[in-house]
Amino acid sequence: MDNEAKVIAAVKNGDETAFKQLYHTYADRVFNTALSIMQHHEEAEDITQEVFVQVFRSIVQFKEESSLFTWIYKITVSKCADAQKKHRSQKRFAFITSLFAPDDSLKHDAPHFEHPGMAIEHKEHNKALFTALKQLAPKQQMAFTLHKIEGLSYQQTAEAMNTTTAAVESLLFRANENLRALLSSYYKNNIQDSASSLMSFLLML
Amino acid sequence: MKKEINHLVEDSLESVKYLNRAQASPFIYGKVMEQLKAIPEPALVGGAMILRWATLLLVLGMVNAVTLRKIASHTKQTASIQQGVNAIAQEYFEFQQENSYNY
Repeated sequence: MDNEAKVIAAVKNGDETAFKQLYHTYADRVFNTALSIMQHHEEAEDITQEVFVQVFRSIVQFKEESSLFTWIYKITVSKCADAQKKHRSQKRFAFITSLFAPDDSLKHDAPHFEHPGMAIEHKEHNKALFTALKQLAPKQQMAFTLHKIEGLSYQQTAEAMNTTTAAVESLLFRANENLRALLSSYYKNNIQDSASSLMSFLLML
Repeated sequence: MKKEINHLVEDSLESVKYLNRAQASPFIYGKVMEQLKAIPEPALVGGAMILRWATLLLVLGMVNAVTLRKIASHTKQTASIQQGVNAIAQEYFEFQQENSYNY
C-alpha cells in the first residue's frame, strides 16, 4: 500500500491528521487553478474551501479508479464552472440594472487582475495573457489553465474535465487560436493608443 | 508593426512558462475545518433527503388514490346515465309502435 492509499484510507476513517496532510499536498494546486480561472482572489479562496469540504465529505465514495490528483482537479473544475455560471447570471442582471442606471455598470466590473505568481520581467505579458484568457469560452479557459498553467497532461486534463483527450486537444487548439487573435487586437490597440497620445503631446508642444 | 505585434503575442503566450504557482492562504484550512464542524454530517443530509422523497411519494400516492376514486365514481355515474338514456329510448320505441300510422 503506497502513501497516498494510506492517506485516502485514513481520511475515509475520518482521520483529521491525514486530511491535513492531503490538504497541504493539494491546496496550492487547487487555489492556483481557481485563481487562474476566476481571476479573483476571494472567489478562489472560497472555491478552495468548498473543494476541500467536498473532498472530505465525498472521499468515502471515491473508488480509486482515477488518481486522487485528478479527482481533486475534477471537483475544482466543477466548482469553478458553477462559480462562472453564477457570475454570468450576475452579469446579465448587472446589464439589466445598468439599462436603468448607466453609472452602475462600473461597480459590477471585476477589478484588474494580477496573478501573484507573475515574474516581474514578464508582468506585462502575463497581464495581457490573463486579460485575453478571461474572454475565452469557459471550457477553452479551463483546458488552457489545466494544461498550460497547471501542467497537467492531455489525459489528466481530459479526466479532470470529464471529457476525451481528443476534445481537450481541440479545445486547446481553439484556445490558442483565440488567444492569438485577442492578444493581437490588444497590442494593436495599445500601440495605436500610445501613438495617438504621443502625437497629441507633440502637437501640444 | 505586424511583426512587432506577432512578437508580443508570442511572448505573452510563452510568459505562462514563467508563472509561479500562487500559494493558498494558511487560513483556508481553518475555515475548511470550521465549515466541516458547522454543517451537519452527510449521513444526516442523506436522512433529510430520504424524508423528503418519502413525503413526495406519500403525496403522489394520495393524489393517485383520490384520482382513482374520482374516476371510479365517474364511471358509475356514466353507467347510470346510460341506463336512463336506454330507458327513454325504450319508452320512445314503445310509444312509436303504439302510435304508428299505417297508410
